[in-house]
Amino acid sequence: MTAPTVHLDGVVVRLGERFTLAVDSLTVGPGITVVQGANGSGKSTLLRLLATVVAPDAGRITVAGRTIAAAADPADRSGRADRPAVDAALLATRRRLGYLPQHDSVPPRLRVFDHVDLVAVMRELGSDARSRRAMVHRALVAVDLDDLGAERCGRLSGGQRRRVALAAALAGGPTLLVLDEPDASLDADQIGRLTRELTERAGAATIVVATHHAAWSTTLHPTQRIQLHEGHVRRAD
Amino acid sequence: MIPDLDARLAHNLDVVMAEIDAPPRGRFERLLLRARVPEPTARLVAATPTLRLAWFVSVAVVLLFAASAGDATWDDTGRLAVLLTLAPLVPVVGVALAYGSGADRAHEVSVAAPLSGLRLVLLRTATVLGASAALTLLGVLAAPSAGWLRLAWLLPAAATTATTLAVGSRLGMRTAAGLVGTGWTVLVVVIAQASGDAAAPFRAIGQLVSLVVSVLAAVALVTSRRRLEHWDGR
Repeated sequence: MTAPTVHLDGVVVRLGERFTLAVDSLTVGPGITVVQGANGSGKSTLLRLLATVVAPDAGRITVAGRTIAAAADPADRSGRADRPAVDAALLATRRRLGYLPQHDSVPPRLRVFDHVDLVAVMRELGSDARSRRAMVHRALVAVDLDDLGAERCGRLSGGQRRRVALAAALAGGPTLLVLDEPDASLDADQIGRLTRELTERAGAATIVVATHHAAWSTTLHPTQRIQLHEGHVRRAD
Repeated sequence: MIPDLDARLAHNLDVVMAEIDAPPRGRFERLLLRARVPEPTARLVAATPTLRLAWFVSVAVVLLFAASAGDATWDDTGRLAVLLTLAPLVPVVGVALAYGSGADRAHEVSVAAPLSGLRLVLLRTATVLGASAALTLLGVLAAPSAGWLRLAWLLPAAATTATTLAVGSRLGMRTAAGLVGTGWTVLVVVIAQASGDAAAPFRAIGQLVSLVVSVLAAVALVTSRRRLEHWDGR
């Protein structure tokens, strides 16, 4: 599966009264795209859009040329007829997607291996249990946690839990990888490991990374940078 | 071809290492596998941590009901009515605790996954319902003098659960559970007071209404499944 190109056209997301993300036109292609901006600028909302977690209130999102979200327009009756195609495209997108949310998404009671495996089941990875578990093992090796597979997540440090969540996103080699502050809580060694992992994957995947750390983002050699300011794309180059 | 061979060797090594590094499956998961439940389903049910809290609450509440209504009979309608009123709320609480962004840290990750949201919520609901129904049945068997009347909560429980799921697909499970729980309690009290019979909501007509509500709510859930399967409650 090739790295997809994601296009947002006239997309608006309203989160209550106080915040609106508005993107006139934005294309995210293969390689690494870095998203930056101050707190509350809309980075996480943009990433949740790309990860198909939040739906747009207006506009259209396409992935690999197929529409995965088109906000309902009451005047447009053709939209209803397209629904099965949109649903199929959304499902296809999720099958190639790895997502790391900004918040701690690791349940403390689960063991490390079991959590990553549970997400792998939800992501429908592997043709059978053995190949799926092999993917989980490989992902844990990638984040240097293969020796902690039997440990309960609640006993890990913040940085280790971040790496568990990262392993769940990386498992199976997704071609669309959406990572919201993956460097948060990581020490210098682990950031170096993450940098190598992402740059190695950049040739075969579309990777979107939100981060506050401009210096680290430079080491990723991004193909594109998106700067957000108060819910608007200030610069995309 | 050597690259293929290398890839296969690497894969086989990963398979072996995964079996070495992975913790053994829990007792419940092994039981499910022995009962021929498909492996991914067994994993989804057994490795979902939110269910443990839901199970715990279900178990505690149902056991409490069973103990407190030990002497309930048709003559002691007050105590029986309390049992029958509260029992359908157990799976409602379980559903609220088992699904949604407020209940599950990994909820956002599960929304972004291709697994059907409807399948996930039904799996978790079935588990909660199964646990509470089994325990209530044990309570009935332990006190046979109370007879089949303790089963009069089953159809109302199906109705409250299905309604919670149907409303929850639009408003979120916790909000739905609050609305349904309050609505159910008020309805039972009003009917009981109007008829002068505390067990009136659970007699034949009440059971029939519960059945109709269950079916209607199930239809509403299926027609609104898109909300569960697609975006996060929007």
